[in-house]
Amino acid sequence: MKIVAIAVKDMKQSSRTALVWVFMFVVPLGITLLFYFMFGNIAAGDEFELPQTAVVLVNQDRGSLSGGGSMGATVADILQQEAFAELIVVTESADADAARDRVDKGEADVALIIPPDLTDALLQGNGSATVELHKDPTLTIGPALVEGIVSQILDGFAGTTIGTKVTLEQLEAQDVAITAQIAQEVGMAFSADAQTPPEALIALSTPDNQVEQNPLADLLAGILGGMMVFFAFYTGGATQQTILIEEERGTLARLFTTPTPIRTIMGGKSMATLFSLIGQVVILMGAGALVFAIDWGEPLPMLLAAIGLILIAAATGVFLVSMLKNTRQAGTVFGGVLTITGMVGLLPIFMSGAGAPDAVIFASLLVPQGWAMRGLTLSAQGATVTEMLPTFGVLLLWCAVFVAIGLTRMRRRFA
Amino acid sequence: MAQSTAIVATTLSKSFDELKAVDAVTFTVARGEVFSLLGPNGAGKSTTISMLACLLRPESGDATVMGYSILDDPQAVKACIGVVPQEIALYEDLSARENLEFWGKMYGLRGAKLKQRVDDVLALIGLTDRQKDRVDKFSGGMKRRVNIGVALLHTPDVIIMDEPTVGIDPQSRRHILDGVKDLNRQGVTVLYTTHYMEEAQELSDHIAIMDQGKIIAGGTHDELVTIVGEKDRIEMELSHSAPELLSQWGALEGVEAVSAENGIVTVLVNDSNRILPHLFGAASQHDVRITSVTIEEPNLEAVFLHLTGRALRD
Ligand SMILES: Nc1ncnc2c1ncn2[C@@H]1O[C@H](COP(=O)(O)OP(=O)(O)OP(=O)(O)O)[C@@H](O)[C@H]1O
Ligand SMILES: [Mg+2]
Repeated sequence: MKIVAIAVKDMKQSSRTALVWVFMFVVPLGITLLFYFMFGNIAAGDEFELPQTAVVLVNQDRGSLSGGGSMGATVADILQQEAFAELIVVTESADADAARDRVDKGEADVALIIPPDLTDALLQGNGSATVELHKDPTLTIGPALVEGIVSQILDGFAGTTIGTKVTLEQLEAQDVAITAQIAQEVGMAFSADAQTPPEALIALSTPDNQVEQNPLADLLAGILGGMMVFFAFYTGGATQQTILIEEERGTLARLFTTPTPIRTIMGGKSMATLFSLIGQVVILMGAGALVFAIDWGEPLPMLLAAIGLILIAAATGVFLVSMLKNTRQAGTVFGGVLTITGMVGLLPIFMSGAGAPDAVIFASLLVPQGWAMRGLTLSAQGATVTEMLPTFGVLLLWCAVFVAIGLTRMRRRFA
Repeated sequence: MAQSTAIVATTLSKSFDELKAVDAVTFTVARGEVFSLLGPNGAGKSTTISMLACLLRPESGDATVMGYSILDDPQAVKACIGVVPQEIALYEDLSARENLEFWGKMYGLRGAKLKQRVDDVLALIGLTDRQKDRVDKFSGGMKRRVNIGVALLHTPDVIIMDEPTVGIDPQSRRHILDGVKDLNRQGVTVLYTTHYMEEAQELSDHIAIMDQGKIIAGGTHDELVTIVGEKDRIEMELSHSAPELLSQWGALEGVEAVSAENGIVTVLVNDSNRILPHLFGAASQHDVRITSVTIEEPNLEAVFLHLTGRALRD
């Protein structure tokens, strides 16, 4: 098949050009990697590397509630909820001194000692009770987490029942301020306000632990997706531009002296364009999923987004090259047109944190890159095939128009 | 006629804007011969070849190659010709072998046949050892050889070569000229363009002289030189100018014309061997010494000069 021979020859040639590799793969992955290192540590600290905190619980509460049990027992129950299982491991102990001792020996991270009069103090509203948190001084996050949870529970009790003053006491006085601050942060992360009853607290915190939210991967999906869209259009342009290069080097005229019709030559070149784009998209999306843990969406919507991108990048290449006289113009057009339309189309991605203004989103949908990116974003946000179809349809429409104009002009020129 | 002719060009014309690059060109190339289009830069040789190779559509006129019309059946024409373009047209970032394999596929070769032909052509152009090297690492002469090799892959009936020896060393040129003769011996018809009269003279069975878009003369080498008459041309430098001597020379039996320009005297004669002693004798009678003598038998250069008043080479 001559058409395949032409496609293979074209790809062989471009594979021997270092710049092709740089723009197709190195730059998109490199920039994504840069963002990964810039934001990865912060995100990882919050999201991935929370160590399990070993808590020794000493419940000395002797009081009893009307419905049975005690405040101390409720605290113990809450801490041992499934929801916290990934964060803390609770072992109960009867001996406060032994518990402190285990923390000091490094066998546990935190000892939580609930005093005998906790229930009474809370019920009476005038007493005061002190819950003691004995912690390993080298640790911050684990103990702060426990402290945060406990103070939320106690505040909840206090707010809904009686305004009992509850204090958490630190053995290392100098750490109090810092720990309290962290406690507050963690407390906010678990999202209960001071008035929230414990049940609501648990209910709210549950989804955070069940759905594996990964803001870093979302950020990187935007970056890598954007880079992929941006540079895929260059791939489309560069692989189509080879027909101009061949015209200038005389090999196109020579091809015409062989019994090879123009449609075979253009077909071969379009095949090279499509294969290059498929390679680029598969490798970039694959690397995104494997290296950066990016979730591109469900298989079918993801496929639609990828096919949409591949087709529109190829069609834009055909269209642009048909408008050019020579490779010198190609340099200007790719450098100018593709860079500007690419930036316009991808601007919403780089504003996504704050929420892009409507005008920016509107502008992005005036260029094909905007639609290609919209497909990727929709898929990554979990859109269904049906929800993808309008965007995919618009992309196909762009393709049809570009290819029709491009092929007509090329055929008129070379036939 | 169709059996014995390879190419018939009939009043082919092509203009670029105002310029008539090819003007009603008509010629016939017989099968198995080497036919040269000889002409200076801009004569219209490449434009003529482009029309025969179906790259350019003639404005008027037609041509057939191996019986197929360039207007009606370009794909059939392309299948039976091999074209060697004037400028090197290769993929320089591919190796010699990769180039030949690709072009072979474009001529419809594949599999074992393709491999065999690529090996054959590599041997023919003397680049078997360098087949894996990228073409951009080659010397000008080596590139020219690959450029020619591409046109031989599909063993075409007709090979059209457009100035294949331009800008290369004498050794590579020799290699190419011998290669053309070898091909021709194997029965391949060759249409060759050049602005080197020696090449046309050495290779061709028939020659058409082209200038400013027109064929101004055609025939075998010997037929062409009779255009200037079968006259030898004697050029001499004299110790001093002597008008009386020149008129005495002009009166000698067998001398056709005598002219003097820039200190060089040109004498056209029927037979230089017979006349030369008389020229020397007359010179000594007038006390004039002849300081240099060149004898030129009639050649294509002289024909071109005779027909156009200009030299073939710029
Ligand atoms: N594509 C073109 N556009 C405009 N003018 C052209 C084009 N091709 C050739 N010409 C002109 O047509 C005339 C004939 O050119 P052509 O290339 O056929 O000459 P040639 O005999 O091959 O010369 P050379 O020995 O320099 O290759 C020249 O005056 C040239 O400038
Ligand atoms: Mg030429």
